[in-house]
Amino acid sequence: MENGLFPARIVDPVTDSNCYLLVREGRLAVIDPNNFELLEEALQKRNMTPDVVLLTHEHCDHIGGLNALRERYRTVVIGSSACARGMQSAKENMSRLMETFLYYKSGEKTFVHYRPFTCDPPDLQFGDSMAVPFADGLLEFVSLPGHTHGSSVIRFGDLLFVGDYLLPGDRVLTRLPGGSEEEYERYAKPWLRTIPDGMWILPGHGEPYRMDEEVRIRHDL
Amino acid sequence: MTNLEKYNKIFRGMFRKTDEELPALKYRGIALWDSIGHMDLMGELEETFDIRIETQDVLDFTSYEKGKEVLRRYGVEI
Repeated sequence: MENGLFPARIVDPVTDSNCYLLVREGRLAVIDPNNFELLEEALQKRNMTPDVVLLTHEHCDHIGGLNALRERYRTVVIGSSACARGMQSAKENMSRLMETFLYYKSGEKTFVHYRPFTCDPPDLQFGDSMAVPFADGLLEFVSLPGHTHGSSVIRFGDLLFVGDYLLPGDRVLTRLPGGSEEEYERYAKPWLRTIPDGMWILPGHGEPYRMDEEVRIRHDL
Repeated sequence: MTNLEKYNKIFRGMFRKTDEELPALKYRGIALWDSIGHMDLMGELEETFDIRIETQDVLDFTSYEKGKEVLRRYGVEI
């Protein structure tokens, strides 16, 4: 997978979130459209349009470019039904208080203007899980509430898009809007424990890496 | 329920304190009232009093007592 087939990563400079471009057999899946301008630049460079847009969860740093993307392209957006509810609320998608969050995250040094927004729900929604054919493989969605009610992981072969679970160097946050420690322990953690060694983890922030025992220890899995 | 009762209920629920302990509460004075707890608190207050607290006021909301002043700017008398 360490070749041209590995998903390209777009990092939003404001929130540090990742968007991934998964390209297979001339088809393109966008995972977490964080920043439309950067995404558009990447699409034009490849001369491609997005066939599907996949959402790992409803927080604004992962859907910030979705409205503009939908205006520009006809595409199919896929996310969980819980994600659908969250993204339609500026409180639940966190955009309402993002200015404050970013200010605190900067160590109370930098103030960035961040406009609250909501998004229309995904075109295709799932409950606990779903599988969708994509190019030469299968996109497998598993709903894992904990970080937010609408959090999911998306598997494609040996790639696992994990949203804000398993972030490098960071324990999962369950106190942000929509988060629940109880749900994380009950639903997400047991599933995350089953990820086999060697699987590529593509997190919502930070660089991709392979699953191993050290990661399990770090995340108390 | 009066505004003060609603205000206190939010603080008690979020920070697990009694009414008597509330007046001394300050941002970052206890573990639960950190930056994430603060955002949660603002969300609850906005929902309860049906207001939108501006970012500058969110940052100005540094204690239980100071919060009463901040809410007064939005027409909420505590």
